[in-house]
Amino acid sequence: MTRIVAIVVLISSASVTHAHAYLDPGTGSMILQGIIGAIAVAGATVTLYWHRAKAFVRSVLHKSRPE
Amino acid sequence: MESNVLLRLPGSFRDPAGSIYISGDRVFRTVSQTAAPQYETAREVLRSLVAQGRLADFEERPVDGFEDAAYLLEHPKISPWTLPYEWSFSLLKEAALFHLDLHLYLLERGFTLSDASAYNVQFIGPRPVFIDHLSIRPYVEGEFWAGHRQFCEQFLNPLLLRAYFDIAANGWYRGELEGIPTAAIAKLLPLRSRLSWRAMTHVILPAYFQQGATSDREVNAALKNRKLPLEGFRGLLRQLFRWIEALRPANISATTWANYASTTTYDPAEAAQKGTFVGEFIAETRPRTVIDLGCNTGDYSSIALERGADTVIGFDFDQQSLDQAFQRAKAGNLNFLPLFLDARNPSPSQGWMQSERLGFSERYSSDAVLALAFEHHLAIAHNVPLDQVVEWIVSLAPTGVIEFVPKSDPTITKMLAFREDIFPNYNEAHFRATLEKRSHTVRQKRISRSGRTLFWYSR
Repeated sequence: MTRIVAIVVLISSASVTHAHAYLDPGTGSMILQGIIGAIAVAGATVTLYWHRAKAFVRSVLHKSRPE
Repeated sequence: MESNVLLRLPGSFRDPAGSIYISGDRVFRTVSQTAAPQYETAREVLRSLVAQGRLADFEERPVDGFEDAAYLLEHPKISPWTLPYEWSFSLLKEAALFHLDLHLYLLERGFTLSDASAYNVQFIGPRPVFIDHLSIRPYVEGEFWAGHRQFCEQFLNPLLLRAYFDIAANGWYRGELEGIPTAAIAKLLPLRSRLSWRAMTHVILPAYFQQGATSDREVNAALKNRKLPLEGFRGLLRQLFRWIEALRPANISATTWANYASTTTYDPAEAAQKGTFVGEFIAETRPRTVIDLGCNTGDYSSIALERGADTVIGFDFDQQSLDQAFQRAKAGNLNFLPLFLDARNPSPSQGWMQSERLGFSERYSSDAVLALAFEHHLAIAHNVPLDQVVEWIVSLAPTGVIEFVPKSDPTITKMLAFREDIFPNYNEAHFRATLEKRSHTVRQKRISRSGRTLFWYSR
């Protein structure tokens, strides 16, 4: 589990968002949501790079295609 | 409004955004200076929720004599005021789905809920309604779902208890007040269900991270710079919605009471006589609210509504009867709310200062009471002295119908089959005498060959 947590940390970038809450949300649920957040960010990152990669390949193919 | 008759509701101390005050039949809510901006932003969405019947109505009143209050709201009084540990599986499930649906609706409009307390849902008939206006506030991009644990403990876990093990959560819920702890459910879940993605997400992993297996360093590391994207937030809510929507009690083969109507000792003609008597009682006394003790699946509650009662609050201790009664109320759109009650041990006043959650007698009263085939369960099966049974029933309403079941009746013969008959004074004459100490008998009718008799009393 520690490894998952460590991975989570590596992926993170933005600053933590606290909405003023009077309720103690509980560590367990917060960590879980941290992980879900990280997975979502990771997913978005992968998607972004995938799109970039596709765009790159396309541009290369486009260039190499005879006019 | 005079401030000296204002009573601050003891259960409303948690959220600093405001407090609830009661003055006679009127209900007020203060909005604190700090919560005022979020209330102003939410006002429009609050209005639209009221229009949809999902939120208790509110009117702004002049703020007089309330220090630190930016606004004063008045709400219509909701009656009966129920607590989640008095709800059946069906009611809790209805409230859970309602809560999730409301939260998704709010997120779509840029708002969220600051908590997920089951105590913030009340019922009007079988229809849930949200009552905490100040827990609706603007959503901040990337924020966590602060109410996730509370939602799981107050809605999901008690439902899982019945869905996986056929254990009704009412007693445990009442004992804990804040619901069924996730740590406990995590220990109980069978291996098969542990491995499901949703059990992992809402039970197993939160319990694992909570229990201290995670060091402070890991917690800080996991949560620093962390955001939950809106899609992730909505994903959690939708996943819970789908899960809860599919939950059914583990055992749905009929219990003793759920098929009571078909196994009862009445023949149809006798049942019809009983219905006629109840119908006439309602038509003549014209009660607005009726309490139906031992309501079973709601046969006589329905008659009461048909004959002119506005609201019927049913009570029973049989879970399946309650579930069926709820289905009946929902399908027929009846103003009938069937609630869990073990009459030997009604809800006490409890929680902080023993007044946070008020007890049965502080919250339930009515214009009329029905106690049909009910008194012998207390007087014979549980040895409660007959005059105390009568005293308690009569205390619930100024008029009512009580069915007296004599010893010669097969149900009592069965109750006494394996035990000594320690009730020498249990007979109709004694019953009538105890009833007439507190009221007078308007009408009396024998409705079965075994000698069951209906007494219409008025005090």
